[in-house]
Amino acid sequence: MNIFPLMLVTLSISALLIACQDETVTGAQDTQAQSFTQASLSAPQQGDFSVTDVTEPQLPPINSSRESLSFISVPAKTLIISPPSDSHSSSSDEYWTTVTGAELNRGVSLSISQASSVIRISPRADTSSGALMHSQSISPDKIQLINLDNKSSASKSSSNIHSLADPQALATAGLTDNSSALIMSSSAKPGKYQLKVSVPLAAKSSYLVNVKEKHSPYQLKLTSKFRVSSLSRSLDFNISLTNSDQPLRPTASLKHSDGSYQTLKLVSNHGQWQARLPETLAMPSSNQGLSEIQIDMQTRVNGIEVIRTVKTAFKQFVPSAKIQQQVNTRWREGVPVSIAFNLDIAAQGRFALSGYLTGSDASGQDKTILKTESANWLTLDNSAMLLKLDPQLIQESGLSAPFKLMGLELKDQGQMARLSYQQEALILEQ
Amino acid sequence: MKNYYKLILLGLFISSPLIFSPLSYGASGIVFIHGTGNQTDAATDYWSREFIDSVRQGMPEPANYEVINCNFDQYMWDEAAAGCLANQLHTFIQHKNIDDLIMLTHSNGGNIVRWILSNPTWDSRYIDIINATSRVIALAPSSGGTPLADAVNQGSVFETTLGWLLGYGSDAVKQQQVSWMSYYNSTWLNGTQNRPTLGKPFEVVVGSDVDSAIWDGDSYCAGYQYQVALETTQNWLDDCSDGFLECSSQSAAGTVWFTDKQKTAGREPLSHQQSRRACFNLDSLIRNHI
Repeated sequence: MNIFPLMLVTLSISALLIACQDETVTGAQDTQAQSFTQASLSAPQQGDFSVTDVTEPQLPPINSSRESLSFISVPAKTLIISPPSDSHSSSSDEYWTTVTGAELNRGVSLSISQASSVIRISPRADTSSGALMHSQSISPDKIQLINLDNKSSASKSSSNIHSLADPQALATAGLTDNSSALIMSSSAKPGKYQLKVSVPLAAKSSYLVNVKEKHSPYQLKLTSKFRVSSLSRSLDFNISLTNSDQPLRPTASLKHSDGSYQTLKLVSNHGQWQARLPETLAMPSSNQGLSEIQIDMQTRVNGIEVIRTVKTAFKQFVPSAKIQQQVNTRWREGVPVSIAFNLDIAAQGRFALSGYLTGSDASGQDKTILKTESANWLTLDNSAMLLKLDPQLIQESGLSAPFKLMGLELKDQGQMARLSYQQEALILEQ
Repeated sequence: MKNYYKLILLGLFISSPLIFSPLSYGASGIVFIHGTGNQTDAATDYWSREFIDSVRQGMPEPANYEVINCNFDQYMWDEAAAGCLANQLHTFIQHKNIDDLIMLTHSNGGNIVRWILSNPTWDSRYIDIINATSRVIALAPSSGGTPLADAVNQGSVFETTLGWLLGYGSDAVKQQQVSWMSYYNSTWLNGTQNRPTLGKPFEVVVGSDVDSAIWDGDSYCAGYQYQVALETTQNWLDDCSDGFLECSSQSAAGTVWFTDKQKTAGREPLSHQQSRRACFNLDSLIRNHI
């Protein structure tokens, strides 16, 4: 048993000696076979994006590590290097609105477009009075739902409700905001209903009423960009309502990750909508999390009132860095060893670069050899970054020149924002 | 300069057990990584001893296991979340000389593991973990988020709402909103469609339904009270869901190992609560798979 560790130590020291010998030999080779080339990044293509003018971020960085880290990996052979998605679509078959405790006690009018809809009442925090107010949860047996279109006995609350769920039950299943819910009867007709709470609530307390109409034919779809620069004054988006050709008259709000809302002015241009970002408090108060645009609309389709709310998230970022055009490639024995970049930055911060090295196969097709990533803390005095390559992996790939750097991406790890992407960044020529 | 280089190399050889591990000291190990929540005793409060002890018997060295306890109420990148996970994994890998690590995750635990695998240059601890990891088995991962997270974040939700005070809501819940996960999947997380792969197998078990009939004894595995509530919240979800996550969300990253009814005893579905317990032979399926 004791021999084994000794063998390991011996093996390790032998390996170490070999490594040292190799290092000495490599050093001698370096002076003979090493070379450097300088080249410009390729011209941007469709789908590429970058920063024009760098600006200094004002918020504390999420990652302020000073570690210099590099990582090389071999991607799956099936990988297709493609530009990242720049937008997201959300669809909604629901709406929500905020009401006060007094309004719930008096009765709130709700438009319902189909049977078996779900109505949820959720207490919300409110700071409108200057102090933070927490609203009390509502016991479901204190909720009434009356059909305002039907004055007969069938309009009694109990006939419109199929089942009720209390906050404790909903919390165990993931609805963790102290809400109560009711599922409407399958025989309930579309139309106007009054939602009323019989227990006295604090008059100014805040509640969210959420109407969910699962499988509704009327889905509001919102598509907008994933990333919005702090220099941008607007946010473009598209909306459409399925099974309706009615013109839409939406309203929009900007919601930051701290929960605060601001109303946005909208401009329409041939079906494309543009939300004007506010002059003040346009940017979030933290780099953590995302901002959201929320769209509300109501219309009539086939005589039925349809109300929808939809939201989608995006990252607001300060354009804090860009890659300079000139890059230097280090070569050894005809194989690229590393690529050096310089960044334009407005302030110190932690930035990450990544890209894919490709080589050419016997038929002239570009194949991916490796992915290289690097991150470092950059200052105004030292804004250089190095993407290391692995000569052994390159040689083992059997691929040859022309080598290319594809999918070059720059991220700001302080803001957690992607700053630039270039699909075909560089052809490495010795 | 050259001597200095040799000293660094020697130091690495002597001080780092990981350098030795590929030769012969490498061991296998499994870690149990919980989902959203701030756990201090996940072995009993989140998983169950029965489940853990059953699953780890499938490992070559069943004693090489660790149950993670971290604050997964935070954003995945937070030091209390991924940082805590990285610390516990790193310690486990070092102490046990692990070079064949299996990470068994549930729900949002899958996102935090994907964060580490996708961002090696964020933190030096991540690189050692990536190098030691063989594969991830993700039970009902919330890779595509959940509409339930959207629902609880509707309206003016402030950090100090009742939900926060009661320990319900959290940044982790915010992060698991559908459009938020779409952003993170397109930017910071690998493994989804049209994105780089994770570099390690990410094998997913999908829960596809909730069985809550009061006369059905199977509903009692992992608690009947949950099942009734889960069926209520199905109204916010697709028809294919485990009561908390839609099947499309669970299968958004990695590859599907199986969808519950394909392999479970009695072809029973796995609700979101059941996919972390010894229900319908899930434990033995994993045990035999690893």
